[in-house]
Amino acid sequence: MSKHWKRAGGSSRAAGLTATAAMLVALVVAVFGLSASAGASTTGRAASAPLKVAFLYENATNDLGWDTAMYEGQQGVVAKFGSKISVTDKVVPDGPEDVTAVKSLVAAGYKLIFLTAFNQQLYVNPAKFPGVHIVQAEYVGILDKKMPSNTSTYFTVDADGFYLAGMAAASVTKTGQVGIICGEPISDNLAESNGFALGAQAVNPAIKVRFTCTNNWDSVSIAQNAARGLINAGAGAIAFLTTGAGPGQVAAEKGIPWIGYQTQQKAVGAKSYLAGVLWNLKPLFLKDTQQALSGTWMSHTDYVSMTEGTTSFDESGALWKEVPAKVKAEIAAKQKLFESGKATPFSGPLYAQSGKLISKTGYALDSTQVTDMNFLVKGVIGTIPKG
Amino acid sequence: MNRGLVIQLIATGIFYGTPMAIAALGELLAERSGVLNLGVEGMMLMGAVVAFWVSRDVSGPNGLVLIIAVLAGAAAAAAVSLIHAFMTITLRANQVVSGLALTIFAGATGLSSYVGDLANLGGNPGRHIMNAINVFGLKDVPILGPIIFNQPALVYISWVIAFAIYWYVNKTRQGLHLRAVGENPEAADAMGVSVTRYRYAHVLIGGALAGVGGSFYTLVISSEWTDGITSGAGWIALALVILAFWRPAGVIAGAYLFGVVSALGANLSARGVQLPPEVFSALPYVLTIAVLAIVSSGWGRGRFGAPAALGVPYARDGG
Repeated sequence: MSKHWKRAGGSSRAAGLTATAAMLVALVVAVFGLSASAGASTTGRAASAPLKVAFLYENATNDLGWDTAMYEGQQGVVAKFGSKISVTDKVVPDGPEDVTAVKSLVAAGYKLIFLTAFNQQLYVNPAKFPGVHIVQAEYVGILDKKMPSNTSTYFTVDADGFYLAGMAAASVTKTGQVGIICGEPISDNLAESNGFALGAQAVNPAIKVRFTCTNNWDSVSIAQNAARGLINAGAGAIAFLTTGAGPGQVAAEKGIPWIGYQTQQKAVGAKSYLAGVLWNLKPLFLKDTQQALSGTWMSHTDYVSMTEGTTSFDESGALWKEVPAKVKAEIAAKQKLFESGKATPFSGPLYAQSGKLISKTGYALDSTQVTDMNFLVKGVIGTIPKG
Repeated sequence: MNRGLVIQLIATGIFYGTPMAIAALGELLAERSGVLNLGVEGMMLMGAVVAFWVSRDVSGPNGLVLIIAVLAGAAAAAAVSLIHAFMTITLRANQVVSGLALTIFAGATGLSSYVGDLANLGGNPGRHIMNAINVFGLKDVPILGPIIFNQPALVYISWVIAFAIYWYVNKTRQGLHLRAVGENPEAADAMGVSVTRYRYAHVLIGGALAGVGGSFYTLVISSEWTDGITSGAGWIALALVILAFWRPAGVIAGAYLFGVVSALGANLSARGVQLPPEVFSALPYVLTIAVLAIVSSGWGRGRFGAPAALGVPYARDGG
């Protein structure tokens, strides 16, 4: 699944086709003197009728990854608003079916639709559904340069969570090495990998941090293959940014401490589970639902991490007891700083892998520099694949 | 020392090569009896999905559940191969067409996918995983430790199967009959050997072994079910049989070569050598084509050719 920022190759052709189709539709609309973006504001609905809310998933809601995290958010929405809303959910694999599904939801009167991560935006152009609020995870303007006014989006950038995870991993590895598996070399996966590396280096400046990219989000076996590669090369603790808990299984099988991601994945390999960087999307979904209910919904973009409370650090691992007390205290202190927004993982002096100075002492990267990150930090073993 | 690239590649290569080896050994038996079964990929997927299903829903001690799961996977794949046996042996249908139909029917978008949906297997981690065994406590012995003494049970079982097949084909009376059926069914028939019975038996055993190979993906490598999880291993197994000139030892060696190639990308990337991942994804298939090209044009063809009656339906009246 799907934080595809930039997709190479085949998909761009699909995106191109869809974009052409979108342009044709826009042309037709223009000829008839209509405005495609009209009616994106509040929706008139009878006070008594419940607001119809839909969640469209990309993978099974028990994938232990993004879909599970989102499904937990859906359950939070249902629990909070009860009979004020009527909720449905659907699993639709990536493809043109996404559009059909959204169309039928809109036709059935759904006014607030949550789309899962990136791939659905390759097919669904929210601008075609004026009057419906669409919340698209990580909207990056594939179909349309700017986000339509009926769309909201959120980005989870977990560099801070992985910084803490890196500290913990470096303190328990028995090989002097840790490793991280990135999905695709997009900026937030690089930021998260760098956060992991910097956290590990903060505990042990001599630590070797191995980085590998699978160029794939969904395949469990590819991610597991990568995990085996890292462990073979000597990584004594691993983290991963791909969907699902596959690498955790491999680590547990080999007795290697591992870091969970997105949802509570402990169960797949509890005996060597160390810690987790867990999502809580509920506050985001509650906000959108509340606004849609009260008619105050407006398009917005959220960059969220520990500071916003949408990411938490899970210390319930069986191996957490092996983290030395001193490191635990350092992690707790750092976590407080991250949560209060008083620190970021990327404070100077910060050097790129090439040795180039990125940020001087006393300065930190600003949020744009983090969301545009395209380098690995000094001391990381591994390279960013092209494309 | 045991963390060195070469040792780890060989150890991981054996690991990844094993499911292909087991499936190819099964196909070898079917082809030795004169029946080409191109349905290996579909049968492997059926074995994979059923074994995973059983491992999730049967409770009991880890070892016992895994044994039952592997056997269930074997039985499911054998059941699929029965279709091929009936079509090609009893009805004397074209073996290529029937085999291809089998892979489509049972394959990534077919029955195996349907079973996975039906039992809601997708996205769930397995409850039982076949871990590597530390044989005689020797896993840290230099060089041989990780390669030979720290593999999951099915790896060792595959060695036993390979040897058993070698012994059976070459050293037993039934093996002689099998070869006769594959090389010259008329002669075998005249000797009083039932061609139909031999062919049915070996197609079914071949199917069962494909199922065991498939179960390796969901019980050992991934411990999870996704559609098309074998991703072409069945086709590689078919090529392996040819590459090995229909000999078990060759199947094992060839499978490990493919295993090493499968593991190469991840192991190099973890050591800081980054080549496009697409190259590594394509390598096993490139190797398949290369092997087939070399073998078909090759020097050993005359001596080590396919069973003479491979692909030819047998009818006593010559029909």
